[in-house]
Amino acid sequence: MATERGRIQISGFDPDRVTERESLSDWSDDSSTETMSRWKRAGVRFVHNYSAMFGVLIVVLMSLAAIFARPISIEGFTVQPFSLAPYDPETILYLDPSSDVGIYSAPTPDHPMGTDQNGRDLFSRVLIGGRYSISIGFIVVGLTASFGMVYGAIAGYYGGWVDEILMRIVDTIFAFPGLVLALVIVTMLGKGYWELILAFSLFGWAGYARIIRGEILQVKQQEYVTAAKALGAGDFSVIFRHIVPNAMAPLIVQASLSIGTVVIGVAALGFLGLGMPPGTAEWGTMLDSTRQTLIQGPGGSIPWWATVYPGGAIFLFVMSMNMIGDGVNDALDAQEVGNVRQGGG
Amino acid sequence: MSGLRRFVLKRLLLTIPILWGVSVITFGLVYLTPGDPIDIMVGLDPDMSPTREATLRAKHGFDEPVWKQYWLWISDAATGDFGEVIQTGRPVSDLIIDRLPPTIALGLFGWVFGLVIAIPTGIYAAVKKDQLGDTVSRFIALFGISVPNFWLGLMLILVGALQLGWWPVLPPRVPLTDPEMLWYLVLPGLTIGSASAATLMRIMRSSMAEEMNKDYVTAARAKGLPERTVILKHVLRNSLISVTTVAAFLTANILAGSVVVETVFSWPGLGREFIQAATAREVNVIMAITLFIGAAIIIMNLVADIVYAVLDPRIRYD
Amino acid sequence: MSLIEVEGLSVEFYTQGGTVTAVDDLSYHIEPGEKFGVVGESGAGKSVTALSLMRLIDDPGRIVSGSIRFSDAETTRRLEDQYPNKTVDVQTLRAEHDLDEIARRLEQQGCDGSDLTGNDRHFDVAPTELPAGAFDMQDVVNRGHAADLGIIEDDDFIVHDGSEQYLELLRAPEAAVRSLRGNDIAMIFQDAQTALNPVYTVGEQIAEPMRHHLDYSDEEAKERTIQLLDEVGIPEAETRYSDYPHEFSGGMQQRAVIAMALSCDPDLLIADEPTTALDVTIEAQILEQLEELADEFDVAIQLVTHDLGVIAEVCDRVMVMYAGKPVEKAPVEELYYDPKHPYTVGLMSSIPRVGDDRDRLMTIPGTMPDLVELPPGCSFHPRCPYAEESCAEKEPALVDPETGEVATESSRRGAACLEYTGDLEEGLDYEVQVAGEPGDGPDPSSVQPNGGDVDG
Ligand code: SF4
Repeated sequence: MATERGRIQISGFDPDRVTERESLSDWSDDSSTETMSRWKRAGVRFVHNYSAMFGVLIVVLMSLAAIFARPISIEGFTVQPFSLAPYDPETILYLDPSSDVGIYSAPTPDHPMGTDQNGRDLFSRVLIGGRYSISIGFIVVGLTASFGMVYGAIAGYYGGWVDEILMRIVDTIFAFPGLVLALVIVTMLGKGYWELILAFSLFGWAGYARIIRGEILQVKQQEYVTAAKALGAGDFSVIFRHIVPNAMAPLIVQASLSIGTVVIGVAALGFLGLGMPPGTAEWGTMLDSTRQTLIQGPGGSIPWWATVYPGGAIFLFVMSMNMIGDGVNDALDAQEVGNVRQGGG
Repeated sequence: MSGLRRFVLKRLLLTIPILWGVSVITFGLVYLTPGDPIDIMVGLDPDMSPTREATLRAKHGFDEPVWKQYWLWISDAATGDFGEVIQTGRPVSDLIIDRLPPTIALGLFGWVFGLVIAIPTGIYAAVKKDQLGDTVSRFIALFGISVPNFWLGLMLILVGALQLGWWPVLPPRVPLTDPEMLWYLVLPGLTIGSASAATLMRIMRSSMAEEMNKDYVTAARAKGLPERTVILKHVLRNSLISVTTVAAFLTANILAGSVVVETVFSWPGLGREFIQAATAREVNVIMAITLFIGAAIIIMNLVADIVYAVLDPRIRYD
Repeated sequence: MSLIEVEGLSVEFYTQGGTVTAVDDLSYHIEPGEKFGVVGESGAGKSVTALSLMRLIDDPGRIVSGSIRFSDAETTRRLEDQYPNKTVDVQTLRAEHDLDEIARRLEQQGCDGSDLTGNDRHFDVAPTELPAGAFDMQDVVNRGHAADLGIIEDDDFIVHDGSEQYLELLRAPEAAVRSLRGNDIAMIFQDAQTALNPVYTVGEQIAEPMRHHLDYSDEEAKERTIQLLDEVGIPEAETRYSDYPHEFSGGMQQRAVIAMALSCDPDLLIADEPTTALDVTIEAQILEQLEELADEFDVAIQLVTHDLGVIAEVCDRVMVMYAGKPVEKAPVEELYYDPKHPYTVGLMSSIPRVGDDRDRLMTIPGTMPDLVELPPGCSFHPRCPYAEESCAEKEPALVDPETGEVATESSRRGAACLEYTGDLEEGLDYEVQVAGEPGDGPDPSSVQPNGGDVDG
């Protein structure tokens, strides 16, 4: 049979007839989902992911609360006049003789989260307390992701000894837990907003560098990169126009998951008394003083609200951020697409 | 096996430049900022005479140029001498030996807790993928990676110690070897291990789920093996390979966690010592502890790589 | 009775895009020792069919209906020992129940005649009005009606009928099916590299099913494994036993997988694209080896492939699948010299040949449709050069091309094209030429599709 099949020839099966004739039915191979770009498809998937959208909602609400809780003015010029918080987060309420609250007053309808160790309205403080952590989170991730991307791209693209040296530096940074480094930096630089940003940014890029480098090593081999090089594109343009966009997905996933980590880190330093100056309405810093109230132990009433609410706010924000990160991860993970569609046959 | 031995040796040699890098970075950070530990001592004791101040500076070499100070430090460190605590004059190595056991106990507890919880739940969630059990365990894992450890610690004290009264608020001063210690380890151990457990569980689940889509699993089923054997013999070993790669990351996590958790629970370990040293600018202590942490992470990395090699026959170190 | 009989098998996958009917009302059978080919492009449902035989369809897929009957005396006896209460004797049922009564009860349940006989001719005929002898108690059992009516238990899967005995795999408990997998029905996978677990030695993986099914001790299993490795043509089998898969070449990996499949001396070997991942010379070697071993082990083969050439090499009978349905069934020689379905013709004209003087290959235009939404009428019509208006309206049944009657399992051939039911105006105007022995030029013995009018 094997030899005989070579002698069989078919004539009269003419594919052109199919392409030339008019469609016989209004059926068409609906392949619109296949042609959608990867990013668009990811976007659609993300929007249909309920838990991720829930995360977005919470993050937006909490960010808006932080922005609009109290007016913001830059150099005396008010850029944000709204004031949603019922009280000034810095005002010590019991100093006002008409006030009926003291320090650590339990929650009442008027002060839904009670007051803190200085008799300040906790609800107002929790509302505004995200200002520092959230903005630091976004700024740090923006800075570190950009720098890490460039660093990793250079290491991966040039390879050889450049790569060797650059990645040894990254290895060294990886021998520190991020929080320990940030802690050392903050104790040296002192407390404050920009100090915190520096503390988390100075070495926080290493993870991104490693990811991008790994991706680039893979993408580098691909044909379109060779083609771009052959056409005489410069290194810079090859890296940033052809390679990096194709290696972005894991970077974005990492970035979206990192915001929560930075927010926790900032709050942790605040809790250790190293973040913002004492008394600042920042979630972590607010928890700093409450530990004492717990350690003093049973006997007397324990102002649980002072611990539960600020920490709960951090937790809620970070969890929402992680839901978004998971959603981004699922959306960008193209593996599932088109797999089952053909029924596996 | 000799290939593996050579690999281990090579990696151990590689740790030297990395630890050196760690020391440079820490030293740089500590010294390139204005002020030194003596300033802090002066702050605490305003009556200190300027001559004593100068003597102290000279004694610890703070009046030398930075590179010289570093040289002094590193040449001592190379011989195992990490200097002394400036305020008390106690040898740093003494302090570390003193503070290390509680931290190791805590870290180990966290590690074991993480593994014991994460591996079975991860397997369970992957096998029940997209069913109720999976959803619930994924939600718990999300909770675990999102909750700040210091807050979790405070909440556990609030509930476990103050509300239920099952634990003392502060750890009593019993020796670590006392079996009762295990009970006192529960709250801080849970706190330090929860994030690792959650991370590990998520990785376990996703790597199990990924492996379960592979052809060899269908092939194993097609051989008529019971599902248990398919999962526990064929899938598990493959997914553990990718889990080992995060072991080092988790160690770093636990060590960083110890800084915070020990503060929350007043646990007399390295982490709490580190905070105190950082605030007091105790250079020698900071340097020694960071080096120790760096070395621990690097060694865990190495162990992970060796386990990796044992689990995955495709890896050959020669 | 055949070794395996598949009847009315439908498999669905539930995806975001909708329900995919990967296999739609499929029937075929394989005789003991027969080499049966299943051919079609990817997405035709071939692999799903193969996995269904072992009941290995995984989420999100499900076998929604049908019957898969496996008949092997020894296997039946073994399972009878294990499941003594799961046996049905059709002869006893015949004595106890009246077929007319059963027909009446089924009619009350809204059952259609064709549901009962499996024959499309009886579509829309009430069960009570079926001609005498159109169905038998076995049909009632096989099509699940007996279980529906409570005459037998839902999981009674061992069936006796006089000297015939078989297992109904779709009703069997999971553990029973598991005892068949790798033991009585074994599988060879497309890509041996991924089918072998990278972290266990090749030997261990071959020995594993023997220890499990045949209760071999470690030594016995090892000894037999080495013997098998030798038989499938792996040199130095003894030392190779403890090698890991990555230390084998692609061809050797596939040989190891074949050894694994043969280890428990199965009755049926399902080979899913066994040579697709290999290069041509290795492919030829492996196929040859497979054929030899099949004869030596006296095992039936279901060979799943997209390559008609491979089918020609190995098989006795062939089924061509398109979009989850069989479009042509024929003995392999007849399919080659006289293909009846335009899709088969298309597949044949796209096989590259040495000495082909045409300037390009005639490939089938377009791609296999998305199985979520099939084209109306003949699902091949958007790609068929001979399609006419009626093709988009009427779904062709699988008929005997000689008679135009609905094909049954006993029909020698079947083709699902309107041509053979006389619904096509223009007809199919392809020609199959068998090139003359030494010279070239068209052979006088050129064969034309019969049963239709051919226009020049
Ligand atoms: S029925 Fe029509 S479309 Fe379908 S194969 Fe026959 S000629 Fe082609």
